[in-house]
Amino acid sequence: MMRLKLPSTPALGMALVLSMACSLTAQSFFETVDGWTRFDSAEMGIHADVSFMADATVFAAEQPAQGLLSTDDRVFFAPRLMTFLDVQLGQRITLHGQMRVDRGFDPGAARGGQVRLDEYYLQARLWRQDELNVRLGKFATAFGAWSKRSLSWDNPLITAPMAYEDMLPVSDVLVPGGLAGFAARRDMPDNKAEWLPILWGPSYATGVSLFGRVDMLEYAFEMKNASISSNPRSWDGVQDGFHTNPTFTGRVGLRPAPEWSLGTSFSHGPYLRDSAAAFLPAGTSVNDFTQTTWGLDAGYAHGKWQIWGELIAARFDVPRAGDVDVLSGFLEAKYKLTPGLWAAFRWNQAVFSDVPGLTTEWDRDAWRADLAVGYRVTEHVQVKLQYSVGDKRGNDAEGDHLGAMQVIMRF
Amino acid sequence: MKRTLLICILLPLPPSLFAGGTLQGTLTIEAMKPAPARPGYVAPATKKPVQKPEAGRAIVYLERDDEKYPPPRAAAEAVIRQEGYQFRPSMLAVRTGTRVVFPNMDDEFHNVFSLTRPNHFEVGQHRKEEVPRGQVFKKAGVVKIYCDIHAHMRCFLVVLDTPWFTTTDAAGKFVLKDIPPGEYWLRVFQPSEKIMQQRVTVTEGKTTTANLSR
Repeated sequence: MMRLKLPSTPALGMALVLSMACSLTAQSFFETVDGWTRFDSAEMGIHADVSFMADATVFAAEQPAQGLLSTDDRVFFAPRLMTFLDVQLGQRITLHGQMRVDRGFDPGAARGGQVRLDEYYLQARLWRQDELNVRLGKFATAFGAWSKRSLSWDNPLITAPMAYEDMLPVSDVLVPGGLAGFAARRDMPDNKAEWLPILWGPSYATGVSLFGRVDMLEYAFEMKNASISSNPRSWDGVQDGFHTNPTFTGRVGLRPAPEWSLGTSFSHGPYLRDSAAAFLPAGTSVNDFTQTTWGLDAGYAHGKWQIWGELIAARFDVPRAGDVDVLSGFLEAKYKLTPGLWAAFRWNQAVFSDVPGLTTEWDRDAWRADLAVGYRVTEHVQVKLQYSVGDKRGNDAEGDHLGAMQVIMRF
Repeated sequence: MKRTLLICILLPLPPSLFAGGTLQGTLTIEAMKPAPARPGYVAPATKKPVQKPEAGRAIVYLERDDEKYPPPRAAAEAVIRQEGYQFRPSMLAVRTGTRVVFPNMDDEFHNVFSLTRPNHFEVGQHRKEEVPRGQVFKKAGVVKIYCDIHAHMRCFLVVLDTPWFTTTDAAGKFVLKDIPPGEYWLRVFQPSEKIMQQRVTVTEGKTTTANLSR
């Protein structure tokens, strides 16, 4: 991971967004670059492709900002350049890498700029067409269905669903001293550096996966070095090693018809980092405190409609507090108004169980509505606008409103 | 005045009524550029193997300086299939006003679309058994067609005002028959998206040979 100095003023950000938007018609430029960054050798059976995706996002948020936007600025500019390397070796072996230059994995997490290798893996097809594959490296979780459309080009909206970004008062490094201390966290603003969501974005943790599909059935089972809620700092097994027991995650999916995609997911593993060990109750270790998560996902597509929904139930075993549960879900729809223009809407909701032994919930029940319009200008450029409004019951410590604009180029 | 009147009378007549000339030739076909990369995807996830794209062919057509052409004889319809996760054909020429239908022959969804203005369109996601409503192409021009689900799929639809066009064979050979005598621009739309052109004269009852090269 490298630190950089990236442009930070909103005015410069807006200027960059507008200048990107003004260069939208540079189709031939993108195609030329695309042609330069390929290597094909039929004799050696090698195909290599370097491709790029550049985002420029401006957030305008009521503070403290919702989700994983880590800034106290009212307007925040988050540029990002993603470089992808895809190599096909023969018919069975593929290599994939994804490097990002941005202001943090989540906007503002590294204000001065950062270079990271977010994804890298080796994949081999072990059996016939696609029945059995193995993947080794650092890659997106198999849990749920949102990770597959988490890249900005594929996400109809700009932000992630609440289940993938709303911080909960459970931490991988802060061990509560007792029930009262844990229960008091729900009145604090989200601590984005030390709390966890149910799933942290696509969760690019390190490990091994077996996956494939047989007729209408698809499956993926993986063993990784960190829980699906883990902070990005815990994901890189090469840099950070494997300190706790692994997390086991799986998803079984069914595609009974082209319109339908159904799936159920499961994940279980410890969520505390090593640094929390010194503060745990005597006789316990980080491996004793686990996150167990179940999920259902469904997708429907036909004509100009695409609809997705997920329902996720998670249980965290919190030191000195016991098991706490959260049920979170979202329903998302995208409708193509014209060949280029679409509208998208997402309804998110989360409800929490009581703190064990108390009559108060461990976090405040919440909802959020996300509304977006997007326009694909060319095969290489699209623009999105989003407005989100949300609320938490009772003492609501986060801002309720967020607006965002994003220009994306891929080439 | 008499000459103008004669042209006006003759223009609506089908070309086959002319004792026209023939134009034939050979050209070197330039390969289609590789499909645009879709960042973040190693390979398309498909139920069945992706079939190879068609061998490249070029669209050859004749255009007049005055851009006056006989009108179409009837409402024309053409078909571009999605089969084996490829467009077939991958290059097609039609006259303006032609309705093109895009049947899905695969077991998975396709979503055919184009952002090429003014002929932009989107068919929407449809399955094998469904016959989606066709798209009428009202303006001349090259339309780049893609599948929103399978980024490697590409097709060029060349919409032409002229009725005199054909597709080369895989060796680059073409023949255009029943061409009214006169001066024309012979133009070729290559799979590489380049357009080649040269001036040709078609003589009544004779065969003219034109071999294009860059």
